[in-house]
Amino acid sequence: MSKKPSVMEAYKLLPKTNCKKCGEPNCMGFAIKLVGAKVKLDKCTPLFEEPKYAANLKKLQELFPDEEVEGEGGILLDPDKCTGCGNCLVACPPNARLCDECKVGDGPHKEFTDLVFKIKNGKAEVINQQKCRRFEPPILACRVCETYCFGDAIRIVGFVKGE
Amino acid sequence: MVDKKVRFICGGCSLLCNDVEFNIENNKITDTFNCCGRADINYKNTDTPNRIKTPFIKKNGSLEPANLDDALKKSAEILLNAKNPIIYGFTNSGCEEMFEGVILAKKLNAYIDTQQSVCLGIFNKKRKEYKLKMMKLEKVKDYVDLIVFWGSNVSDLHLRLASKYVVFPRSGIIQSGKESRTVVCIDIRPTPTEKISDISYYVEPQKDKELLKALIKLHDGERLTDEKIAGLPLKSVKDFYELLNGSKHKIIFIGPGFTAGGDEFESLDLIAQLAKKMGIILMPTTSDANTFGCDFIMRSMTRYPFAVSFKDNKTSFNDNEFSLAKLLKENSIDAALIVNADPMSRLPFRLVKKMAKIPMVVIDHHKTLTSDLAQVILPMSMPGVECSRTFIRLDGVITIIDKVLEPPKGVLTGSDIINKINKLIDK
Ligand code: SF4
Ligand code: SF4
Ligand code: SF4
Repeated sequence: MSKKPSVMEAYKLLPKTNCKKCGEPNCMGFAIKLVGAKVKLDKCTPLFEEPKYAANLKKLQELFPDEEVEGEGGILLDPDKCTGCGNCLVACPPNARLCDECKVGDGPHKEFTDLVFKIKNGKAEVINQQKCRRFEPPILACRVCETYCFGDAIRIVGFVKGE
Repeated sequence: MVDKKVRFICGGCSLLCNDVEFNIENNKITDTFNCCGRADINYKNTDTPNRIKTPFIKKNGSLEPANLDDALKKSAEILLNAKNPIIYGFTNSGCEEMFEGVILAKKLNAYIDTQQSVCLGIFNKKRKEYKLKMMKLEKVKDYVDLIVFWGSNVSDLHLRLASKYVVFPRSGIIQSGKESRTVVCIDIRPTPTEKISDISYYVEPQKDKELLKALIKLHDGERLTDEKIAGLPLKSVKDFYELLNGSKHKIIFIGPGFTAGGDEFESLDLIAQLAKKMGIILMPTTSDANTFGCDFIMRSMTRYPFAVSFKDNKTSFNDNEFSLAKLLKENSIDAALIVNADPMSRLPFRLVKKMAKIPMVVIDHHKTLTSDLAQVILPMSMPGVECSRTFIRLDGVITIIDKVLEPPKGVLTGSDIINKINKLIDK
């Protein structure tokens, strides 16, 4: 099972020259934001321009694939990593508010769709992202599902006010 | 199509989740809802090339399809010709299979053993000895605010234990779910279960006993002098004790990691003592779906939980002598009936070699390493999917699982097959 890359892993692969071209105070700062999915890799221009970084660049691109991000971001769910544990289903506060069954740990009936998450075929699915606290006003900096996901399958991209 | 509101019970592990739903077309499950990935694979696996649909008999070194009567006769022959047969497996089947298995073992004066991961038998003995309380999972959901996973990687064993019952639900007096509960993880190395735990302690392998002894001492008001206990700093141990002491409703889930390698008897005795003194609920977690049912049937029919011998018309128990691994080691068995289990993939290699030399009759629904080496294979319907079966949940709740699909044509249930062998032996 591959894990979310750590800050150190990312940092080691960056140029470590602290050139500030990316707009961050140093390479470590960039690494932190990169892992938190708050910047994209292409902000670090030297990586792409200087051939000596080519090998590192390739590794970084594998670690941080350039996902399509809708609007301000979203909940990215990797079905290959998801084990269907249901932690997201039950832990997600809007899910519990919208569905009495999720509140007490059970799965919702199959035709119930007004939810953020649902478990189908042993995998979690994002049904309605707009119900997520990061999207529905008042916008909150929630990361509950990402924190508790057993499979490291959930990645929240983009950031909201206060993060 | 299934009725909209119909919910099924999953027999994928001993959690027996009761909220599973399906879309079914042409006797095949096309979509599952609410069950975990492990169960999903199980449900969609009913018609794969690995599925055993007809009986097989080994002829000239290769397994060939046969008719049921011949295969049954051959099985009865193998078992009758053996002096010391063993009947083994059961923990993923229903209580019905276990029941018939014990009857057959008695008749054959054979050994019988089940595939257990935590020594549930010893645990049950301790539970009686110390009069420990059990708690239903529904009650755990409503009350328990301190959860300890001890050597129990639930993210692998019981995928939905945390989400469905013990960590995340908001219910009873626990109104804010995870925020109102504290989760502690004790293991020898990091596991994914840590993602939901607030505190993790890494103990040195097989040093669980030391930690338990220290906790008991702390409870008895003794002073601890060692700087390190089981690899943990003294302060951590004290903190952990305070945590246990400060919570009103607490539970410890004991997993395979707790008993692995070390002296199970002593560790379980110590943890039972601690539980008694501090009012902790203990709950063993095992990977197989019906370990608890098998344990119950074995105890009610033979008085012993597993590793039982019916030799010389006596019923005797000795987990050191009559378990499959020990019997193989001593070369004391000469035939085996394996029911819905794959010992070949679990035993150490030197024992696998020994087992391969013994004539085996395998009753199973899918091909396994063990069935590949069998003399006779008898197909069975999948318990809890193609036939309704009785299972017992990890907290002791007896559950009847309805069937969802029809079994392949001509395939009988495991208990019917054992029963038929039994009748042939009478003749
Ligand atoms: S970020 Fe929070 S609100 Fe949004 S889906 Fe995850 S748990 Fe739910
Ligand atoms: S928490 Fe993660 S692994 Fe569990 S069901 Fe949700 S996405 Fe899948
Ligand atoms: S956790 Fe166990 S009982 Fe629940 S759905 Fe998964 S395999 Fe089935």
